[in-house]
Amino acid sequence: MKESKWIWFLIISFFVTVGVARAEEPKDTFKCSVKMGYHFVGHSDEKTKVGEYETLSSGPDGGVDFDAVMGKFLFGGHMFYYDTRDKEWSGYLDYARIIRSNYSYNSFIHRTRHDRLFANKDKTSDGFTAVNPFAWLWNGSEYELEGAQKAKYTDLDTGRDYQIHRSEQKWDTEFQAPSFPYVIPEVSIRQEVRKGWRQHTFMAGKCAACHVVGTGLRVDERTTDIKAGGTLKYGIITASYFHTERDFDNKALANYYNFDGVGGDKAVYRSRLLYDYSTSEFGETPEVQKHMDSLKARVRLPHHSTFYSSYVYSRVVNNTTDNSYNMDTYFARLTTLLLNNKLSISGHFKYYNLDNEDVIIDLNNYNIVNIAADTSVSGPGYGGLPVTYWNYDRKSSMSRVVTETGVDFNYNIAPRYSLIGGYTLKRLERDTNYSKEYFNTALANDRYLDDGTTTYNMFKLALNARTFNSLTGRVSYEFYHAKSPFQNWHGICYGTGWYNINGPGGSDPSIDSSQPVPTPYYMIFRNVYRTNDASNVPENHHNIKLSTTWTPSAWLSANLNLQYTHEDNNNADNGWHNNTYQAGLNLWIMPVQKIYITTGYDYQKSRYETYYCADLFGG
Amino acid sequence: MSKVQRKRLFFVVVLGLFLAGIAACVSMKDTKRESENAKLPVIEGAKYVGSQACAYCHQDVVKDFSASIHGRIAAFEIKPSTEVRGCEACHGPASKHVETGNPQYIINPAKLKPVQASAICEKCHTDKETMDWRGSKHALNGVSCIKCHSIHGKKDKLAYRDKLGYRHKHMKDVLLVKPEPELCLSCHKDIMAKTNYPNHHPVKEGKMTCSDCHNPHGSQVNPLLRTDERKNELCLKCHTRYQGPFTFEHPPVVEDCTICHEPHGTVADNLLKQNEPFLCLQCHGIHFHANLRPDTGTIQSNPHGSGYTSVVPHDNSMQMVMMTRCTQCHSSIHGSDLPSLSIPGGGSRFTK
Repeated sequence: MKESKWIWFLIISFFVTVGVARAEEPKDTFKCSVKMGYHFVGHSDEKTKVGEYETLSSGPDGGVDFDAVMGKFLFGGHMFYYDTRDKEWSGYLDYARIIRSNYSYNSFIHRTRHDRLFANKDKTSDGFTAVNPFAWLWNGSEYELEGAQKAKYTDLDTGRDYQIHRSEQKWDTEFQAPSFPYVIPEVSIRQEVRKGWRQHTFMAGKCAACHVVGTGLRVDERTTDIKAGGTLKYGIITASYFHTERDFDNKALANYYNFDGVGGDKAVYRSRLLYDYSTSEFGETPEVQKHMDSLKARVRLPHHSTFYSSYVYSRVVNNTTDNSYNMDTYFARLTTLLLNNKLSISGHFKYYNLDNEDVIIDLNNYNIVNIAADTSVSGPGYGGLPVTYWNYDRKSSMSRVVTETGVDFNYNIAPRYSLIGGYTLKRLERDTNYSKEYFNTALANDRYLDDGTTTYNMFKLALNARTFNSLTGRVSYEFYHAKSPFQNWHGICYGTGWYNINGPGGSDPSIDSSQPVPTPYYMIFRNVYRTNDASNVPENHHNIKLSTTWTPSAWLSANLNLQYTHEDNNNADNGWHNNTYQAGLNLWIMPVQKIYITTGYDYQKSRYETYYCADLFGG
Repeated sequence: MSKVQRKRLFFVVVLGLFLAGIAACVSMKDTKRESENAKLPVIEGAKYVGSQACAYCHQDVVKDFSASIHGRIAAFEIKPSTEVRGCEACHGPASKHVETGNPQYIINPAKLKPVQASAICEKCHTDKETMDWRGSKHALNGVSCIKCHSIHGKKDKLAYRDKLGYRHKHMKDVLLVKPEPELCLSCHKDIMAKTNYPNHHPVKEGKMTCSDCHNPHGSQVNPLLRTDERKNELCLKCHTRYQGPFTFEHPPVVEDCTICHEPHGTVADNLLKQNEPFLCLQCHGIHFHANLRPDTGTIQSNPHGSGYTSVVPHDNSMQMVMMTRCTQCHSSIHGSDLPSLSIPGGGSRFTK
C-alpha cells in the first residue's frame, strides 16, 4: 500500500513538471492545478456502519487537474487519489469539435454486513435449544420427534470482513463531420467491475434439523454496456437511434455445500426434502445478456408546441437457464403553451408490453434424494407420493401490459405565483394472476393477486410562490387511488377449511388423534386454503408537502420543509396503513468568504400498522 | 413476420411518415418564425454586432465563456436557423444595448419567465437527454435551464467537497451552477436528509450523483428516472445480479423494487423501508414456531428423551430463532434458479 501511495505522488509531480514546461510555449496553453492533503480517520464501531463506502485508514490524498490547447486539439484530465481502492481519473479530447471523446474511471470499497449468526448471544454450543411445537410425534410404533430441538447456527467464515471493490469506467466518443453536421454518430462503453467477498446465509436443514449456515461467496462480476447509434438534427426534427448490448459476466466459481441429513428420530421430514445428505449448489448468480434498441424523435411544431415520441425494444436472457423476457415500450408526449406563455400543458401516453416466459417446474429434475425410491422413510410424511406429484407450470408474475395516459399543467396565476397540477390514469394488466398451476388436479393453483388488473388514478396539485425576492415557498398535495393494488392473495391467516394432503387421519384429518397429543402437524395449507389477503402497497396515498426558503442576504439562507404522508390499503385484509411525518430545518451561513457553516435537523417518524398472522403451519 | 414484429414495423413506419410529413410541410422560414418553444421578447430595431462588442464591458464573463463549451462551438455545429454565434445567439441582437448601455435593450434570460429562458436553450439543445425537456417535471414546475446551468461556464474539477460536506464525483463538464448533489439538494431538502440516514447509496461519499439515476431533463418514468422502460430496469443497470429472469420469482421483486426498498436512504439495512422481519410480515404469515413458548414442564417430564430434552429451552428461544432476519434462510429473496429444500413448497422458497 505504501508503494502505491508513492507512485501516486510521482504521477502528480510529473504532471506539475509537464505543466510548467508546456506553459512556456507561447501559442498553446496549458493549465494545471494540484491539490494535496492528508486525511485522518478513526473508527470504533462496525465498519459497515461507520464507513460503508469510506476509507478507514489515514493517509495522504491529492489530485491533479489539467487542460491543454495544442492547435486544434483540446484535451485535459484530472485524477484524484484517496486511497488505493478509492480513486478516480478522467480525460477528454476534442479535435476541432469534430471528435469529442470522454473517459472516466472511479472506484471505491463497499463494505457489506457480516451476520455473525448469534455469535454474541447466549447459546449452547453451536445453536439454540428451542422448543418444538409438539412435544411428541408418534408414527404408530415409536416417537419420531419430541421435545426441545436445537436450531444450529454455523458461520463457516468467521472473522472475515466482507467487502466488494467496485469500479466503473466509461468512455464515449461522438463524431460530427463539418461537411454533414446533421448526423452525429456516437459510441459509448461502460464497464462496471465488482470483486470481493460477500456473505451468503442459507438453510441447510428443515424444521427440527433447522440449520442456518453463513459462508463467504466470491464476487467477481463484470457488467459491460456497449452503446452505439446516432442522432439526426435537422431543422425542427431531432431523431436518434441507439443499440445497446449489455453483458453481465459472473466469473466466480459455483458454490457447493453438503446439506444436512434428517435421519434418525427426525426422518419423518426426509420425504419432504429435495436433497439431504447430498451436495448441492447454492448462492448462484446467473449470467445475463440484454439487448436494447431505442428510437426517439422530437419535433418542434408551430404554436409553441413540441411532440416527443420513443420506442424501445429490449430482450433479456438469463444465460444460465436460457429463460428470457421481451419488452416493447411506446411513449408519446405533446406539450404546448397557451395564453401568451401563461399556461403550459403536456399530455402523454405510454404503453408497454412485458412478456416473460413461463417455466415448467419438474421437481424430479432437482430431486437428489429420489423420494419415490426411498422406502426407508416411514411415518406420516409424503413417503407415499412421488415428487412429481408437486410439479407445476410457473406462470411469470412479470408478464404484463401497462397503459398510461395523463395530462400536466403549469398556470401562472400571477407574476410570482404559479399553479401546477396533473392527472394520470395507469392500468396494469398482468397476463396471469396465477403463479403456480399444478399439473395434479388435487392441488389447487396458487396465485398472488385476486384480480390481475390494477388501475391507478393519480392527482397532484401544487402552488409555487415567490412572495418576496427573499422568500420562496411551495405547497403541494398528491393523491392516488389504486384499484386492486398488488397483494399476496390469500397469503395469510388460516380458515376453517383444514386440508390434508396425505395424512393418516382419514375423512377428518384435521386432528390426528393417533398422536399422544392430538396434532394437525402434517397438514399442508396452500394459499388457497388461507383466507386473507395481505399487502404493503397503498390503495390510497396522500402526500402533503410544504417547503419554504428564506434568503435575507448573500450570507444567510434558511429552509423549512414539512411533509405528511398517509397511506392505507382497505382492499387487503391486513389493515395496512402508514403515517409518516417529516420535518427538516436547514441553515446555511457564510460568516466570511470561503467559510461556510451548513447545519440541519431532520425529524422523521414513520408508523406502519398491520395485522400479522402466525400460521399454524406454514407449509 | 410475427404479430409483434409487424406492430413494431408499423410504429416505425408511422413515426417516419409523420416526421417526413412535418418536415415537408413546414419550411425553414416558418420554423424560425413560429416554432420557437415560447414567445420570446424582440428588441425592436436592434442588430447583431458580434461578441467583441460585449467583451468591452463584460470582460469577466467573456473570459470564462471563451474557455467553456459554448465559447468553443464550431460553425458547423450551429443549426442553419440560428442567425449568429457567440453572445448574441442567446441574448439577441445587441446594437441598441451597446449604444445605450441600457439593460432593457438586451435579452437577459435571468429576467425572463422560466419557459422563455429555457426556450432560448432549446434552440440548440433538443437531443440526447434534453429531448423530452418540455414535458419534464422540472419544466412544468417552472424550473428553467439557468436555474441549474451556468451558461458562461466555470468549474473547479478538484474541489474535494461541496458546501454540504459531500464528496464530489467526477462528471463531464455540463456547466452546473453548483456541483451535484449540492445543486439538486438545494431544493430537495427532504432527500438530502435521507442521504444522511444510516443506510444510503454512496452519494455523500462522492461515488454516485443524483443524475446517475435521475434525468433532470425529463423522463417517461416517474420521478424523472433515467430509463425509457420501467423503474426496475434502472435499478438493474447496476444491480444486474438480480436481473434474472429467474425460474423461481418473488412477485413483488419483479413488480417494483420500491415495494421493499427506499433508494434515497433508510434507517434499516439494505435500503429496506423497514427492518426484517416486519417488512416481510406485511404480506406473509410468520412461521408458526415464533408464537410458541415452551411447555417446560412437559419437556422436562418427557419420558422419551433422546439427548436434547435435557436442556430446557429459554422462554423466548423460538422468537430468537425465528424473528430475526427472514433472509437468513430465504437468502435468494430476489429470485433464484435453484429450488429450495421443501418439496411441497415447489422449490419456490428462495433458500438457496
